[in-house]
Amino acid sequence: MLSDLTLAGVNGVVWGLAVALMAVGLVLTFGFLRLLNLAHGAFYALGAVVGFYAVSRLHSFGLAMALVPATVGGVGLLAERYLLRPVRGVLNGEVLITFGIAMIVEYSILLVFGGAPRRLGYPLTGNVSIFGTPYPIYRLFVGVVSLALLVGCVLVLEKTRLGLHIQATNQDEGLARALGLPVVRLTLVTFGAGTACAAFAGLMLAPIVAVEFRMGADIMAISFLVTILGGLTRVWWIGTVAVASAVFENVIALWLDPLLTRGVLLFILFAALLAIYGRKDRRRSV
Amino acid sequence: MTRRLAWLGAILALGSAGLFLPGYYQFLYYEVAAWGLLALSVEILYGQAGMLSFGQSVFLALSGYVFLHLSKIPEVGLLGAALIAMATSILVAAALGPVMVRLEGHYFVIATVILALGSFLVASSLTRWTGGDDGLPAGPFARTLLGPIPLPAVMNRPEALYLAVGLAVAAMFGLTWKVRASVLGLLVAGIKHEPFRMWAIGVPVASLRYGIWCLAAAAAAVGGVSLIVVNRYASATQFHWSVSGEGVVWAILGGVNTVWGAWLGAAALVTVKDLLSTRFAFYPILVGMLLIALVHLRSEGLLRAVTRVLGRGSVWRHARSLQLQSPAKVQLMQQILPIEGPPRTLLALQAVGKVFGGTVALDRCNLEIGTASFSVLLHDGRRYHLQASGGGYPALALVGPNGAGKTTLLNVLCGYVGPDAGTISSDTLVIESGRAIGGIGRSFQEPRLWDRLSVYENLLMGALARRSWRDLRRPVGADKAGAEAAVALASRLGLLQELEKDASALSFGKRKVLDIGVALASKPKLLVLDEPTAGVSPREMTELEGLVREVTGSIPVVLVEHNLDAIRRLGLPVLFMAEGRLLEYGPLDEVLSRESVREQFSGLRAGEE
Amino acid sequence: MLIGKGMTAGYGGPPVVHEVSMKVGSGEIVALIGRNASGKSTVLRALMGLVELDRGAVELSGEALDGRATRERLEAGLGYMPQGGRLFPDLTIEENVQVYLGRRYSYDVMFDQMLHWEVPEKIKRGNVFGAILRLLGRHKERARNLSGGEKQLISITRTLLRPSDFILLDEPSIGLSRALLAEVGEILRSFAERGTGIVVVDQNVSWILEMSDKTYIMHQGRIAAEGPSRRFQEKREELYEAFGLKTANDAAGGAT
Repeated sequence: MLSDLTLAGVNGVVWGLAVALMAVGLVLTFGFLRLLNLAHGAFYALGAVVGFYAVSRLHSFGLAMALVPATVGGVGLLAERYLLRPVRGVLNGEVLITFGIAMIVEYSILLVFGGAPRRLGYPLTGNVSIFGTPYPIYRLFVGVVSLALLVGCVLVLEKTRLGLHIQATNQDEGLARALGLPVVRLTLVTFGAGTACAAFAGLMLAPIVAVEFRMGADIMAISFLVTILGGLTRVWWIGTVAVASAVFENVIALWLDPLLTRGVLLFILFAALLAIYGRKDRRRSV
Repeated sequence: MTRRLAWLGAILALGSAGLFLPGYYQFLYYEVAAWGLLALSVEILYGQAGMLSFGQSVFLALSGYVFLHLSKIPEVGLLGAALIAMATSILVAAALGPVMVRLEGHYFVIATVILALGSFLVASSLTRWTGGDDGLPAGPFARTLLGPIPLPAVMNRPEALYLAVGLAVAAMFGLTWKVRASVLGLLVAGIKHEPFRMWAIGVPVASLRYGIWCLAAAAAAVGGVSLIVVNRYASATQFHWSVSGEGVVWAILGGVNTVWGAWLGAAALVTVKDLLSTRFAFYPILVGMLLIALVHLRSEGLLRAVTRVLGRGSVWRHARSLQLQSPAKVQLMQQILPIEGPPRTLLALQAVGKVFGGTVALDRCNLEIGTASFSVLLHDGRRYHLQASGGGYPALALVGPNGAGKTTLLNVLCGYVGPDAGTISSDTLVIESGRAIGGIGRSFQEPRLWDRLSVYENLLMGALARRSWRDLRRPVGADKAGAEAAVALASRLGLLQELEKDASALSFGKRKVLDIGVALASKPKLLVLDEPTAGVSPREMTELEGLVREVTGSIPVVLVEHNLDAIRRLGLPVLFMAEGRLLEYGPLDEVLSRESVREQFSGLRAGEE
Repeated sequence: MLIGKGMTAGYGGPPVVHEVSMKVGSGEIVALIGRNASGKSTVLRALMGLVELDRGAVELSGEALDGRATRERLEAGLGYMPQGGRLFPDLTIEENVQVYLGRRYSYDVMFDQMLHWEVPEKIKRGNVFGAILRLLGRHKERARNLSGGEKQLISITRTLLRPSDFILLDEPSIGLSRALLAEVGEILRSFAERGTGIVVVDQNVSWILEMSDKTYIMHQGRIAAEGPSRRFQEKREELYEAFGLKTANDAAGGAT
């Protein structure tokens, strides 16, 4: 029992870190750009699928780790430039457009990749022993890489000129323009980076979860909730909420059906969202 | 009576039309009808109230499953099952509603996505009840109607069930159409475009949103039952948010804010879906591309394309008929003036203070505004009374340098912000925690209009804002008093020719005129104008000044104005403010001749503490 | 020389600024004053390319700036402080400066540069300098915690730290006391003495007239009067008239 719990805990931390990676993508698009990106889950699935093909053709997971964010990020850049930018300012325009993108991407995957769930083999075989239970080393690798990327993301945001500009534009776009920051280009780069994050998360999780066209839906929903509850742009808080909820989910899943658990988790986070944002009165700004 | 019969006939015709189609098309007609309600549900929320929802599928699937299970039980009966199923969905929506409708913008969208996805996951896991992704077949249906009442023999024919579905769907569309044409519908449209001003003119925004949320859930709930009856099948995937998303696309394709467009959009795409059924992955890709194209083209939808050819709706025709009867020029006084009886105090500000982030915006302001006179207590203790001249009404212009607190004073007068210090009282208006609720008309420096609504509807909005709950269900067109007031006002404002134009199509000057008109239409007891002539062209300036002059003779007015020449031409007494204080009062030239005023006004004396 | 020629600009509706022409020489401080909503800030925004000109042109040291983005104008040597005291609330003091100057400007570099400013020794020992240096010392603090005056000082500092041939300042006086303002004026003067051309838009007219060489007064989007600042200090009636503050009596008196 104790070892089950420990295992669930470790699984939770690993899964939570991967969710956090997904959430970082949303921090960039939703938190900083205030762009409700419903295609985030689709880009995650696209990352997994492109990774699947890359690994099966190139036989190198390492190469895929470079290739996947680059290609899917490129798709993100094109989507921002040609689909989203023209409707900036249209009410709900970006929500509808990203929903359309999600439909196109997901069902293109279905056409090409087929509907049957597939799984990528572990690129790192071997186990470590945790309290006597063997634990796949690749899962730990996912945790470590996700954590590294989280740290990297925070470093870019906190320490580089690009990160500074992204933060500034988010806080006061008018002032940013007046001080000559390249707001339009920043939006493009930020959206591309957010997309790349989702795709990378998809690739990293492809050996752990089933790869199929709709795999992005629930992880996207959880990332949205985690991002909002963590405070939109505060990466560390978001990571903490992600890990905490994932550990909770994995522990509960010891007793409950996994689908039901995820549903229950969603509703708990949903209730938290309603409790925090549903009570606020309409802002009465003149 | 004849109108009722016409409606009944139309619903019967729509509901039964499909029965005359051959085999497969009969099925398709009723399948479209059932899905049409999902589109309608989205249309009610998104099209009418501007709340984009991806969660309507939840109410559809929930009522569907409840019906699927209960319809097998003879003790409940087919009708009983349908009623319980719909009630369940509506109750769930009603329970979620109070919090959901308070979520703003993106948060509402996300909440609906999560709601749908969470329900989908739970439903997928409860395979015993839902059959998971594979779904469950419906039936065999019980042979009873309601408890012990047996099912009439004719109901055993599939056509009878189709007819029931058709009628239910048509009735739901009809109901929504009625709601849209009612006072409630107009107010909801107002909330969609300019929620702040709706709040400001006293409309219970959250309650109306709640009503619309429940109505939308009801449409989806009826759709859920109908779908089971037609398809004889339910699957957990129907909870998924992308199912709702399809509904969004149908509604947009048909035309947002055109009730029947939802049916049209659903018809077009459900037919395509059935045609593509063998290559079913193509359909969502097509839907995605279509949606992107529709948004990029700023499409108005199929139905608008049709109505554009056929002409405008009944609201406009009604306005036009009234316009012909209205006199060429109406005096503002007769149409708008509400104030009668002995002089009363509208607002009495005593030592009112307001601080924003450490800066003093108002410093111990004393001002009494009555229907017959104003009374000012200046900061240095001098007191002045402003008596209305010759049976007219008092009016006052606030002037002063930037940051003097003029706009803050207006906002306090209107009750938009409560004071931090001092008291506000009234013997005519309702005051709640220092804020006046209703009774004060306000125009804005930057006009806050309902841009996508016509000039006529903008004026109606002001006139209808404070109707009682009972009046909400009446058709807008039936409110003769409101319509006449709006048209009369338009005639005075010189907007008769533009009555049918969208407010966004007006020039800036005309927008400012309309903005004042909206404030007047709510029959205020006090009118507050923020920079009525700022930013308009010289030609329009004359017109606006004329309007302000007439208004100041008809109702008590407080205005802020930078253009001193305009104040001089209007002959208004001025109250000079600086650094949040009321400092001087009198005729403009007298106030301006004081060196201290000139120094403060020009900034020669600034920042002195 | 920074020259605006016949600038007409607005925000979609009727123009907010009509046919405004102005010249700023190197080493000159030019005041741009007028009542609220007279179009002063819009003139600065037009010079920076933040509003598009309907008509007219902007020239910097003989070079036309038409169609250049704000960023390019900054790089061409035009410094700008938008709406006084506006900082990014959740960035630190240091970052708020770096946003405008670049990452290599850590707070000690700023410190160092400020100490090398050629300003009178008296000013270096004065309150403004002291306050700025103390603020830079709190470099890790978020801007939202600062008072209005502190934000203003950081805002001014960041504008002055960036090497520019011309500087446009929008409302530098807000939040600053009279004593501090006098010192800010002296700092600006010493920058002008070293050849920087400065345009100041401000509400505090007595301060700005004191400090500037030349004054443009705007009223309802047009230049209502221009001339040496001293003239308006001495002849207040002219100032009042340009501000649109003359009374009917004045007008009658002027006619006779």
